[in-house]
Amino acid sequence: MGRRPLNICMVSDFFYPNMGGVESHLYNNSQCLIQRGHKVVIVTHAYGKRRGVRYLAGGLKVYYLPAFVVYSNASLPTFFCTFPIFRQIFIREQIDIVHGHQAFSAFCQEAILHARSMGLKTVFTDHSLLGFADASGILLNKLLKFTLSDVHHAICVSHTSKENTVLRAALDPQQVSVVPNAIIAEQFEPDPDARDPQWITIVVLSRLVYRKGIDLLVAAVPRICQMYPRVRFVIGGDGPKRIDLEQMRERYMLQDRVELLGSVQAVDVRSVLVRGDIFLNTSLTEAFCIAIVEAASCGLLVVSTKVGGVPEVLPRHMITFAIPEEDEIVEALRHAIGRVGDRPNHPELSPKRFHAQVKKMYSWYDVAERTEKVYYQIADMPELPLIERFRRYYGCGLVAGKLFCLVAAVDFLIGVVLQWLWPRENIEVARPFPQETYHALVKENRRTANGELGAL
Amino acid sequence: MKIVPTRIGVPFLSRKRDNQQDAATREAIRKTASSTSDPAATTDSEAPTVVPKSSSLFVSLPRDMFRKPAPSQLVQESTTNSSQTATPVIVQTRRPWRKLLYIKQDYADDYVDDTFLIELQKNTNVRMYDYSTVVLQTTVVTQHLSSIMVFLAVFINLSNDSLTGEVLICGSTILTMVGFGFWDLLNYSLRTPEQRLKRWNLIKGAVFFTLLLFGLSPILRTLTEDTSNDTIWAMTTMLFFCNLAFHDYSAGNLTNIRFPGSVSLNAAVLASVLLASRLDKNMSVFAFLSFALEWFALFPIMRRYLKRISTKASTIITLVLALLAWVLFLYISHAVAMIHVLGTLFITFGCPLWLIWIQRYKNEIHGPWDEARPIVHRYFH
Repeated sequence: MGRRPLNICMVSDFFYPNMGGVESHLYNNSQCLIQRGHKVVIVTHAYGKRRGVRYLAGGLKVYYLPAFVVYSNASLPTFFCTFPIFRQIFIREQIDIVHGHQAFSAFCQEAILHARSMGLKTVFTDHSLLGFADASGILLNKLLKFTLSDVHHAICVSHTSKENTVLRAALDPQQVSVVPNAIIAEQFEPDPDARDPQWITIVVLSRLVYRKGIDLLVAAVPRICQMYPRVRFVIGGDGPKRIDLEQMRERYMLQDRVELLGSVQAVDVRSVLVRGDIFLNTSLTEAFCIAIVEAASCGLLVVSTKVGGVPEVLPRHMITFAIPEEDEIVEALRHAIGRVGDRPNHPELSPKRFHAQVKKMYSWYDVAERTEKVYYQIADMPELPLIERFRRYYGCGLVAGKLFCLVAAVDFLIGVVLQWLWPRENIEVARPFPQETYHALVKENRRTANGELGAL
Repeated sequence: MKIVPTRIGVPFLSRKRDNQQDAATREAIRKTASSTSDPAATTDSEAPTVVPKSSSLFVSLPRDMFRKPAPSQLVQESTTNSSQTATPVIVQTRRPWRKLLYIKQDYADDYVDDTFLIELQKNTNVRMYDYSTVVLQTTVVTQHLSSIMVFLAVFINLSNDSLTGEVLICGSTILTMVGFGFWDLLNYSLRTPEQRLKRWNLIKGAVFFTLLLFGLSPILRTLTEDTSNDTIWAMTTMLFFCNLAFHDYSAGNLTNIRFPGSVSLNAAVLASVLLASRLDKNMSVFAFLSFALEWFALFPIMRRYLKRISTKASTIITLVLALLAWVLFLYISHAVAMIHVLGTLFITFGCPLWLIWIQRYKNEIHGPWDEARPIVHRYFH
């Protein structure tokens, strides 16, 4: 198998400046892939004034395309309208593999469709779980079935997520790989001096919304505060449920023991985490949960609801589970508070040890290596004839199958028209990023900076 | 798809195989395991074995679909080279796959284990319906359908002068009084919050409203007079279908009219105003519109009360309404009367059968990926 470097295009609606798990996955995975010698381009929609082409560190090129954003940063699904611009990008950047992220992203679904019409290889990564009961779930699952019925490989962030995706999109499970998320462990080192030894501090860092189980938090906080006079809470994040937390704090007069920080910047996450002894996660659904890994890396004991992929993420000596029920959460917190006292006597529970273990478990280099494995697995697959693609779409459903075939056929024809309008040969190929010059410059800069510091 | 109680996957298969291995092999496993695995894995003594919930309804999926040729548990690499020295058998083993992310496992990322989808549950909280219960539940629909039919019959009788406005006013007033007395008594005995309402205020409001309606009835009569008959009939039909579709059939809500129910009431009132323009006397219009309000706004509330206090009373009123509609239409159109009877029978006896039969196609999937419902006990107390 040829280990030639690949040109990869990551597509998702969700990228920086927006914050979240998908965004950090995209950025870090791309950086590591670039370090492994590949070329990576990210395509996302414009965020306010941030539009056009931008270069990030390491020569990571990001296209911020104009798009109409409908709901929580997802762009309006247009089916065919994005084809010309995606085609230009794919040809300009000489893309081999199109890698879409997150099912909610219309950009990702459309990019995969157009890439298939152009005969490119496609990979899809699912970052979240979705049920089967509600209307949005049913609709989105149908759409996902359409996109994924012709994708070469899918990646999920946890085994539970894989089961979910296989069921939702009726995929062959052998076509789905599990590649977890990771953290940059160096950015989450424990700091024993930051703790206040007078208190046992419980840290919560999450968006304050229903799906993160804030109702459970609101119920558990006053009970724990009543039981343990030495326990205090530090709650970071913002959202509609913040009012509930504030009301709870007023009602039980806990202003001095429950600290609400508001939204916390990514760079400040560690400084908040290291203040605590216990990290509490009350999510109601979670595919992977990077937050608990970050907390464990900072040396905190973790208490979490046992939902989705959470049981797969951390070993049992780092985490205490509870079902999403008020009494269970309180019980799990009591257990964890008891263990905080044990920690000095047990070297295997020391924060340093936690950090070292997490560092071994999760690394973006590992993620990139495993993603690359998927890429090479599909890179040399023979291209299927158009009729075989139609056969796959047709199998998606009685009515939907025919509709999907129609969409795919129209997309293919648009591709032919686009080839006639703007022939592939006339599209200018983007110049490769000068990695050597860039690294030499970076090294130079670092040396001069160090030199200046030395002179001072 | 049939619901067959089958389990998918064999959760403890791999363990049993472990037990069958001889002691030497196990020793070898332990050695290799302790040397290769990270400390995290060894401290983790409780293996999260996945135990299927004690539900008899598991999925029947084609197992071959999810199965990859199982990895050999024991790969024996006997290095028998030409020198014929009796080299001891080097035993290499694979630890069974575990559903964990924090350990590096000796399996490919796209490996599909036997335990794949073992936590999937299908149709676990599907309620199987009982025929007689469903039949009794349909009475709310037939009641409402019959009440619309009765209303239409009243209109037809009014418009062809076999019923005068005065008689209708007398009749509907008596019925409303009886209903009011019944409502008051029930509120007293059921101790519903409505008993706090002041009776006097209520009566004052009713009188004021009636007088207003009386004053407005000439305007209402001429409001859509210029619209052609065809338009009126078509729109009325549509509006009554709307009324039937959005009517609040639940028995719980006794006080106010909320969103879908309000659409239903508005549709009925609009239909009545449209129909009223086909009447020629102001008195008839007043009688008809006041009857319409009583019939569509107040009567459903009484039916809900009846359903709450006794099933028998509710069944009786259903029968009375259905018979009344049938008799009234017998004088107007035999065909409509027949259709009404057949429709009512179909809704009462046919539809429950249909519902129970269609339950077999129910395909409800649950698993660990579902959004959990938080259970909170002492919230804001």
